[in-house]
Amino acid sequence: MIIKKNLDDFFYYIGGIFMLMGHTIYLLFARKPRFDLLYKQLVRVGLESFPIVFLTSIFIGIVIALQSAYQMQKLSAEIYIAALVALSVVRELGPVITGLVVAGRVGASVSAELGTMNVTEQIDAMEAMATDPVQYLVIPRFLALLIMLPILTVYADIIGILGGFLIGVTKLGIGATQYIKLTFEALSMKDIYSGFSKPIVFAVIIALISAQEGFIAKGGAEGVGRATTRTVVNTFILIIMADCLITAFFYFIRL
Amino acid sequence: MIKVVDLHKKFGSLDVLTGINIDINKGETFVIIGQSGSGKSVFLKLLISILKPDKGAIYIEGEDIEQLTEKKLQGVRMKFGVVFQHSALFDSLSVYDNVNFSLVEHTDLSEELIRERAQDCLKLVGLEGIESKMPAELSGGMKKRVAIARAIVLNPKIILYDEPTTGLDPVVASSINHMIKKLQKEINATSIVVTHDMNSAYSIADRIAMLYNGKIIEIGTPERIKNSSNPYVRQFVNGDSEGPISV
Repeated sequence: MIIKKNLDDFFYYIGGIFMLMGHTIYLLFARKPRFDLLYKQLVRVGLESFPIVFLTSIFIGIVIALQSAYQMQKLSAEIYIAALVALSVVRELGPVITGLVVAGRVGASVSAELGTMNVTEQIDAMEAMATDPVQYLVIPRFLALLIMLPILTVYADIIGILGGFLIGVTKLGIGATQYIKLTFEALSMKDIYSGFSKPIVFAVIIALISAQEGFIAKGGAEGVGRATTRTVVNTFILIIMADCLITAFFYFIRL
Repeated sequence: MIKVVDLHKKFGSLDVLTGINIDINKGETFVIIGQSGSGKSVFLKLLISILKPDKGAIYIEGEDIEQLTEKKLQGVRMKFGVVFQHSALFDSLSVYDNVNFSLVEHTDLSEELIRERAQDCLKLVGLEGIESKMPAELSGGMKKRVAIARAIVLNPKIILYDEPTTGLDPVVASSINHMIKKLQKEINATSIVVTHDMNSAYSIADRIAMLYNGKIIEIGTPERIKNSSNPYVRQFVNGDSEGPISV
């Protein structure tokens, strides 16, 4: 009985997310987005995330360089650190760390905001005023994430490489121009594709999960709290899973 | 104006409405009374199709709202103004943006005309000079009045009030009742009010219906409800703790 109920809830939840996705895609093509609303979200989702992405990425870059230097020094192979930092940041850590940071920062706030609107009947009020809440609330956030997450990821990649660069140049004695040259030599188009497809998928995950959790939140402040927690947990898991799938996909296909 | 036929609604295994039949006439103030949790708010949400009925039909000016396309349904929804129980003002928008929301979303009026219309509506509910305030800065009574201004901005044919006086002090509550009557005269809309406040019901209603156990058990003028012989209605309107209604 309990298993059946859990299964029901699970499929109900997944069904809700796919229905929201269908509705969102339909509205994206059927109606013009509202630029005033989109602009507000671009600032909230994107611009305001730059500082935290800067901090996490620069430290990630520094840590990778330091950790690998520790190993590489034994083999006198410090010269490979530029390539190692570039590849791990662009292919993996840049997109994933940015995705997780934005999921925590933006996903949680979207769920809390929509959840509060839901439990205080603001969403019902919007529907009663013949305005589609998906059009008014979800589309601007969805588009803002879809636009800003790739930009933030590129920014994270650059800052992460800069972190490695600082260590490489100041501590390991690699020349600045040589470090940059080694970085670019290491990166292939495949790395760029792989690194770029990730934030797009992550943006969709964050937008849909956070909006759906907000829309189904019930039971006052506690319900909103639960919705926010579930958003963070579910987006984190899905981002890591999607990352694994995309990495495997690019590993097995030839480009 | 509004015809409701054999309306059923269930949440999980809980039967909320089990066969509601009502005819609401144009221009009247129709009050639905009943205990908390008796399905009054659910009924209002069914009327504007925010919730879908399990069985039965709702006709708004002759149109079965279940059969409408999304676009036509939006058209029907624009005939309504809804005042929600806790006002449900958008708390990220100022009072002015709350009131003009429907005008911005659904009309091509110039900014000047929108401003004028929004100010007229705020004036009608006795609120001026608070346009730039945020909902969080307002008292409960003011919020309710802003919600009323927001509901009437598109000149609705039907206004729904979900417990308009709940949580307000008696003086403010009576001013809200007064406002409902005033609007009734000025914009000649049909009003449907859901409440458990009997003072409010008697003072504004043309007809009162009592909802109990998912059904309408009595319907009639305030006078008839006041003198009803139905023990459930008598207990409710007199506010007795003893009687057939279990608490």
